[in-house]
Amino acid sequence: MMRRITLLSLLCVWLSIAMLAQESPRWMSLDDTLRVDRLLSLAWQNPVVNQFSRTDGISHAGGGFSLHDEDGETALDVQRGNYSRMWHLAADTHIKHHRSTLWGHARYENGFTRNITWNETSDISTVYPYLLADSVLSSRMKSERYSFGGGYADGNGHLYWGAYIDYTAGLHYRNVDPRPRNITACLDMSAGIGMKVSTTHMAAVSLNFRKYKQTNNVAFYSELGHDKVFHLTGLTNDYGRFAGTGEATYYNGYRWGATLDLHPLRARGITASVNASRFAFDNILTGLNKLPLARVTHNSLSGELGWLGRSWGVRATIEASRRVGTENVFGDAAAMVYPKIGSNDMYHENRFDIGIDALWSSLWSSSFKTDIHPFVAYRHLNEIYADPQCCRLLGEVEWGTRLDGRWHVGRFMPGLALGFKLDHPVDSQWLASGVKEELQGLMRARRASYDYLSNFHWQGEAVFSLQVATSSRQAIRLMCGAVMGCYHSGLKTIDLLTTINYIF
Amino acid sequence: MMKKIHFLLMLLMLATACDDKLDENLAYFTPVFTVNMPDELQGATVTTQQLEVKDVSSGRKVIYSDLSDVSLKTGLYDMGYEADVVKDGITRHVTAYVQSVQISASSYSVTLPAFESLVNDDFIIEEIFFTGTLQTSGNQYYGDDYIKIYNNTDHILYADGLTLLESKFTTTDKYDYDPDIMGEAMTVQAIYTIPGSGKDYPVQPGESLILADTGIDHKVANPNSFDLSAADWEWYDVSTSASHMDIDSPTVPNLDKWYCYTQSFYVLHNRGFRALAIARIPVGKEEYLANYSYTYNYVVVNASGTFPMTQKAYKVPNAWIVDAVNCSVASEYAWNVTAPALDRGWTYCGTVDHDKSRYFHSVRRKMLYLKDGCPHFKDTNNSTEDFNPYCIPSLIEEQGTVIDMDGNLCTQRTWDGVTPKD
Repeated sequence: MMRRITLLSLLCVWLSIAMLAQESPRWMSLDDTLRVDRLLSLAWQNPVVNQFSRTDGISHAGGGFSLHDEDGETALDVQRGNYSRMWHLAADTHIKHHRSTLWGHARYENGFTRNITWNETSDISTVYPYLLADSVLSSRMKSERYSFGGGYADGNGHLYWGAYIDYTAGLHYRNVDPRPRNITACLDMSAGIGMKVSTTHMAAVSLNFRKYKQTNNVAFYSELGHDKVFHLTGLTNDYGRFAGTGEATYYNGYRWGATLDLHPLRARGITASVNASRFAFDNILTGLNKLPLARVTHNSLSGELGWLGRSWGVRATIEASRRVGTENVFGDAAAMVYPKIGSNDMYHENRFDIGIDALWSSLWSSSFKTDIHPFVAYRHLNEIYADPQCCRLLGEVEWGTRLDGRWHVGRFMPGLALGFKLDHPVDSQWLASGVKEELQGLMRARRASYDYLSNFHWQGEAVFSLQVATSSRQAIRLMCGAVMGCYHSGLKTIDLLTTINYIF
Repeated sequence: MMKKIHFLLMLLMLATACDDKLDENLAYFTPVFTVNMPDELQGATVTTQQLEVKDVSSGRKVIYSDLSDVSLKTGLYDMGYEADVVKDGITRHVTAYVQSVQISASSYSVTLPAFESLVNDDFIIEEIFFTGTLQTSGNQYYGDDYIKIYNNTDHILYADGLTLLESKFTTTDKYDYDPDIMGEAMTVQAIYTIPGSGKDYPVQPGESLILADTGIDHKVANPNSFDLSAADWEWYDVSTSASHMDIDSPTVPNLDKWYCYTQSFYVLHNRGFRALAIARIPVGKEEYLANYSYTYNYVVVNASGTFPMTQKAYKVPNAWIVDAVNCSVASEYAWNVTAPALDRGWTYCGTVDHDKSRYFHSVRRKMLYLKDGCPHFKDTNNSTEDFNPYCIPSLIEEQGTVIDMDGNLCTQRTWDGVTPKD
């Protein structure tokens, strides 16, 4: 409760500061879809470049509700559950004062996820494939997540600099057996420096750092005993030696990265960004004298090259990453101390994504504007487990488009966006050998997930929004959106999102 | 345009070419095996052989029929070896078992100390019911655990002097006990002996004895339990705790208690973390208790620090032990607490500590065949192979009593928990 009060106080203070600090933009300019450089994503990760993401100041404060539901025999990914409901409160601001830029955000989320199986950890996309898991089809996993952060960037003459710091913490728990209690913490920091290299462009470099930690503790209150806990090691395997024990674990990791950017000073012209990072974390069993079960290293290289015009933009993206899971081998334990006798690189994951997308904004009249955002991408994922040999390979071509229209009718600005995304598999392979009897359930679930993704699937999207100006520099925006997905074997997914924001 | 397309295709090919291949990620080693035959079989010719290799880390097992085919990655392994050997025209069977073999680039020599499998000409442990039953309230019920002893030979055996032993060490906690006497003796904490002068209690081939915790009709106190008032023997303890008194059955004679660690009353470990054995001790009670104590040292290391420990127990020479069965649960198993010559495997009820499904289950020895209407049970001194784990107990089958907390009655009748009698 104290945390919530603190957070709400923080939001109020933020709100007041933002209101006082704002210049007076006309409410029409509160429509932040007017700029084509929102097409970019990698560039804004550099705090030096981020000061160019807006020419004016803007702040949002509001809340929302989201829902994810699946209707199918097996979940798209049983380790993430097939139903979730979350609500959130959030505020962000971007303040410009001469050449200085200050930005910040705060967010609180609360909700639950249902029917998670074979996973008792949180932040699965960060800590996979080494997961604490059991075979129980669980009830609600409740989640609370807090995040806040901010940055500052400035310039003087030909020089630019900037820095930001973000912190996200989460608490995830269940009140019936099995009862995980996961605490996650992620601290991101970045600082960079840039220089004007021509009359139109600047070059910038930044260093970024992440500290990640997650602690897990699964408890069973049943007097008669409990279900077996597994330490999954990738695809359909586990570290069998410690199965059923080690119900307290933690992940501890660090990421270092650097970005290099070439960016236009006035949102017109060529833009290029390259990011390289290395993330490494250990998976440790707390209860066994902090036994280091495995170490994961994740190297990633991504790039973004684009051209920004007045009303259109185009970009190409590329991302390649390689994740290696190294499992430690321990000798015979004496007095609960396990000597490390070696290690094996057991898990390998290679990802390669390349894509092109474009954004074209058209102002058909003074009151009607449309955006069209087509995209096409090739995505490649190859997961391998060395012994027993297992493999999951997925390659697909993804394409689609999103059409967004907005009308200005007096104080009102209704909007409607429609989009679709089609995924055509071009390459796939599945191999699961030597699966243990007790992990057959996991194998079936992962196979079902593979079947969903290795067959044609598509998503459709519809978003309605309504922005109402309350004064010349303030507005309220209501947004309702739905994304529906259709997969092999009749699986259907739906995601609903409703938000209301006060914009000023 | 074509150049750009070519460039993109090259990029895609480069990306996929960088993919890891299934068989290129691990270094494998070919261990050098040395099979040390017993003295009397030196020079014997191996006709058939089999090596079972268990990767301790993953829990997976692979069986090889040719030792030169074995290829292992860096790891910790348990290995069981069996072979038929011929010497002087006679075929004999040898086995070897080594635990915790480290294989790495610098260590890949494996010595297999083989010993000849001899035919057991004495009693065997047919069944152990250590889990107990549950009361209708869902709470654990105590007192209805039992052990079944069986005459697996073709002649009369006398139960007089047959001694029930429970290991002091658990199969779930491994320490470097000093001095290490496991090769010569079993360290025990409970010793109960069938009285008799030598030929007072004959047991016919194919007959069994039931050694019960408390030989009463347990259905009176717990409708989910069964009747043990017809057991052959019970272990009874004169408790020093007024709140924890044992029950002395009027219908079942008591075993002769030589020693037990507890000051109240003895029950079997209800999760099965110990080894149980039967032995024929060739010396009297007083002489045994005077001369067969064992003082050992070990070190406990935990978050609070390092603690040297010294404890005392009794030891029973391996040569006196007739049969031994190690019990454990997979999640907690650390080692066997008897020499491999006595038992090189282990059996279980439940797979994790506090497994709630273990109640109403026992471990039962596998039947090989029926002879004159009597079962002949498997006895290779490997409890993993010799026992059916997680079975409905034979007494529950015979009496058709409850098999779970929901009150469902047993309808099956089997010889060994698996093979039906019909």
